[in-house]
Amino acid sequence: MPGPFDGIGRQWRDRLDQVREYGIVRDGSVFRTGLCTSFVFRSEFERARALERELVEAYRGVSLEDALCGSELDTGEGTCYLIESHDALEMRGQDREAVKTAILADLTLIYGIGQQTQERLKRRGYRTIADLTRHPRYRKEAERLLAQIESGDTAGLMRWIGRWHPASHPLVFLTCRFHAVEDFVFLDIETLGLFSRPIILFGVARISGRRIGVQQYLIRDIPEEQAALAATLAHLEGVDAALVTFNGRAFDLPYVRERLAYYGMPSRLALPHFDVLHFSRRVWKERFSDCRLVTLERGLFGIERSGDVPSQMVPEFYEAYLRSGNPGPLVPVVEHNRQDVITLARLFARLMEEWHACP
Amino acid sequence: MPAREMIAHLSGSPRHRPYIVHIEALPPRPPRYGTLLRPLPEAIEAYLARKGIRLYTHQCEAVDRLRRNEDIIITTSTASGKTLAFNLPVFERLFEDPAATALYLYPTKALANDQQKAIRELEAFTGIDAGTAVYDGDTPQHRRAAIRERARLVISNPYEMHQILPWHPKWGRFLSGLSYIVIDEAHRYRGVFGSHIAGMIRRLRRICGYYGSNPVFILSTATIANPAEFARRLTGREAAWVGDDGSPHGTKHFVLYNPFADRAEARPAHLETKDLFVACVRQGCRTLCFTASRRMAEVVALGAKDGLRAAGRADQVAAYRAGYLPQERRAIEDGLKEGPLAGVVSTNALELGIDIGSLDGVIISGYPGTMISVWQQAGRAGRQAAESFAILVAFSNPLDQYFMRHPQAFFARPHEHAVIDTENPCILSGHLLCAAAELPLDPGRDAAYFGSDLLAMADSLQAHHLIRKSTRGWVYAGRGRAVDAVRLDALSSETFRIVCNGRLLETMDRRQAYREAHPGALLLHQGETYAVADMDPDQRIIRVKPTDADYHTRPITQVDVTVEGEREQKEMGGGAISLGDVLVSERTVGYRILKGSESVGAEPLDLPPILFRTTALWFTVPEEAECLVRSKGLDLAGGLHAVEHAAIAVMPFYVLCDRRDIGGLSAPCHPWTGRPTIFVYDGYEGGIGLSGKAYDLLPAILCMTHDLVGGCPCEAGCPACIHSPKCGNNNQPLDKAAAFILLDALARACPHSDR
Repeated sequence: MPGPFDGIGRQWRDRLDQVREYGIVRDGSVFRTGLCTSFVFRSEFERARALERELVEAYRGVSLEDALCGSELDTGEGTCYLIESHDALEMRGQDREAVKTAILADLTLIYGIGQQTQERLKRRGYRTIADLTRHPRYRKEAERLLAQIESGDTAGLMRWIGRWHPASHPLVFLTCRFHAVEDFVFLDIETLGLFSRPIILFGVARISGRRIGVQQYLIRDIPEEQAALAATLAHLEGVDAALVTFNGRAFDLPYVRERLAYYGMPSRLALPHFDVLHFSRRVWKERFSDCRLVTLERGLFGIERSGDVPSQMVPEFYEAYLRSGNPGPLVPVVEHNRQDVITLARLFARLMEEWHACP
Repeated sequence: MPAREMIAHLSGSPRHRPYIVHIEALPPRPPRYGTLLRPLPEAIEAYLARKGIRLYTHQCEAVDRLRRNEDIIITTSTASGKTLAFNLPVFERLFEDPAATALYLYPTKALANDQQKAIRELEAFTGIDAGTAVYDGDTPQHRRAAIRERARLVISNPYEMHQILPWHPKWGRFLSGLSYIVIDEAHRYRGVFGSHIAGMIRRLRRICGYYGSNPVFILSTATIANPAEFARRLTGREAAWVGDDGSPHGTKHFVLYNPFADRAEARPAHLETKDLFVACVRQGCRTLCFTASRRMAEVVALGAKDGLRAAGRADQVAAYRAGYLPQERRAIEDGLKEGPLAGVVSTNALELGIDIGSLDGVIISGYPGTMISVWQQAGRAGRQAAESFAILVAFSNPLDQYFMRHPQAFFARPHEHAVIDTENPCILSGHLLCAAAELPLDPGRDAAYFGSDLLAMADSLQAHHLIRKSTRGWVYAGRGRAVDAVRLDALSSETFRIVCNGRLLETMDRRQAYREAHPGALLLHQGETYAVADMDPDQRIIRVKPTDADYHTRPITQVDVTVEGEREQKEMGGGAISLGDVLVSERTVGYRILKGSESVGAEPLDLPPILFRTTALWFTVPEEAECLVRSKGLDLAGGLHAVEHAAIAVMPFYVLCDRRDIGGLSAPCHPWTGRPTIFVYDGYEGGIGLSGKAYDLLPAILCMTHDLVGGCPCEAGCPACIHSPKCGNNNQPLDKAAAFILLDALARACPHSDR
């Protein structure tokens, strides 16, 4: 029964439904893409709309539990829906000594040492930072760096290296080899928009032996977001956990932080964070037209996605589900997220190959 | 020349004397000094001593109340030291509590920058480190984080705050310590705009509550009729009214000047304004001249330069208005304060409290629409006990002319009420959406901020999937950012760039660009004339070339209301009232070319119309009333126009809004109804609920309109009845007798009428 303010809700819905946080660009109009920060091509857009209609038709009368095989997960913050899957994946394991050797060979990590000084010092027999502990001037700083390496605080070490090198430097990346493969938490989130809207799906992948296990925390309605946040947080708060994302420095991590603050859920989230986008740009910038995840996936692994939702259109697919209860539009969203997080892990493994013997 | 002599000079001059219809000497007032209940910290006392400042009674009252954590609203005159009255207790708090912070909100960026300078000086002298910073749309990205993390005194504006609130976790430190919120020029926040600001302030207070702070509000305003009520509605809290002004002022000589006093000798108002301005500057009076439009500011300044050129003083006057680039404006402000300028011609952009030093006199060219503005503008002249003058130059429109005929009515006219509606569901629900995106909305806690309708509104928003209920409260789930969907005002964000040989001359919004910078238009900028060469409405670029043309142009605009759908209709005697969705279209269809005030030609234009969809009510007049008007040989169009004005004047009594929030149109035969029709519409894209409320109350509104027009002793109409200060057609045509016949029939026909 409509209440006294029924018109109000409808008015805002009409107004908000017109909002679109991406532009639609004529196919091949590369110039126009420079003008929008976020865009989809006209053909992609039309294809996705057709897909949505097909799915609504195909899943009419089907329950979410039947459409997406998973189970209800009870967290301290209520329930959400967990979808699990596995895949094969090989990744180089921990190699503390190799990383240590690489870091110690770079004398420019010490305050006051540039390229020229490094060459001079090496000629004089100071080959590693360990050697510098005998140098009168650099001794203190060298000892501090050695202690930093031994402390096992990867995040601190990444910051140290980042002071003297770009954040995408191979040496920064290499610190990941301090970690066992089981430590990595690959994370990709799907949201209802660009900031201050709920996160609807958290894709988390962990490696175990030669397999990658994907756990996706889906919210069946907005109130389940707190539970999905709590479930994801459990991964991120592990003692040795290291976060791996694609553009997470700018998007996923601040977004998760903002949602935690919104609900007043305390957390520190100071774990080491490897943003694969930045390293990928350094390695593959020349080889591909852009460094979007799908471009790298196609170019490096030869994967062509079919029936995919463009990321920008995920919010409207989720809204279609939320308003109708028809789970059809969720199916490609969940698959899209699963594919993204697996590709993320593969890119990470590939970067390890590229840089295993550097610098 | 002192103000008194200047006025004597004018009234003795055969050139000006015939036009002076009245001189009111507003009596001087001696200063009244007060003492604080306890002294300020040493560093602040030393600052006052160094500056030779003794505190007036109202300043002491403000400080003492703020120390007791009471909210205040200060309404004392311009230059009475309002800013100092709140800066002192704010700095005292910042000094005593290193975690304390303060937020200052100004309506414009220019004022914020001006204020920053003054506060930094106080900071430097007292050594109290407030890390004062302006945080607004112009703040560079790389400085923002440092301000959020370190500043203790942040100066911003309501638009920026609206955008900042969703990011409150980044402002945690600042918000936790927030002790004072200063809202300066608060009278600007009235009507629908004010209701939006009131919603934004409730969101801010709710977030402060979440961070454990409970800031005290300090409102500073021009004189308004209802300060305590206004403060309560704007902030949702009780405030003490500090209005007993202890500052001195000298005699103010207020001249009513009518260029049309003698029809045979009538002169165009802008020329007369220019001559008065030149006379004042020539006599060595520092003078500020307010004009009704940007164009008029340029025309008067240009004429004044010519008039002063022979004396070699053309460089001592300048025009000032919105649209100029910030550095250009800054140079003019400084030039008037301490530099070479003796006179500035400005739009109401200088009405606000930007520091421009002490002036001898003010010329107000045309009644500015409200008494609040009249006294704000007149108040810019005269510092301390010095005498000053103000001259109101009347336009030919009926409203200005009425004031010229009735000086006592002018000086006795009360300040307007500043109206705010905190219960308008369209506005309140928008801020509920924003609030739900900032922190989960908890009905138990948050009804204290948003009122008892919160639950019912939240139900409606929930039913449309815009918010969802979680264990921590309602969570925003709409598409798009809520703050982007909720606009604080109806101002267009589309900026046109006016470019001359690749150099950016100024900027203006689309509506203004279509009116003033259409192809063929002559545009004035700092006295230089430019011709518009071409306009690109898509890229929003207008190219102009310098010219020495001696003519000017005036746009011909046409407003139409098209009914798109009728939602409701009810009978009212022989006529009908309807409520529905309309499309308002405003089109510049051409322009006239004028030499002086003589039209020498007209050109058509093909510009796209400016369209907005909104809600309107419309009603037709009973047929027999129409016949009666015609049979008596009265003007039906003038009668309808008069009824439209009077009804809009009455609406704020029934529908809490400012008359600027409503638009009107009357037509002797509108295509939708086929009858003489009056439209009243919300002046906001999408409608804001004003017409809907007025539709329900129309019988009462028309009865009151009837009594207003019938009871007004004037003969042919006056500002108290059928003149509108914002009429787009210069209050023409108007026919009071016809209006009364129409209203008589309408009021009689009202089903709920008591008569």
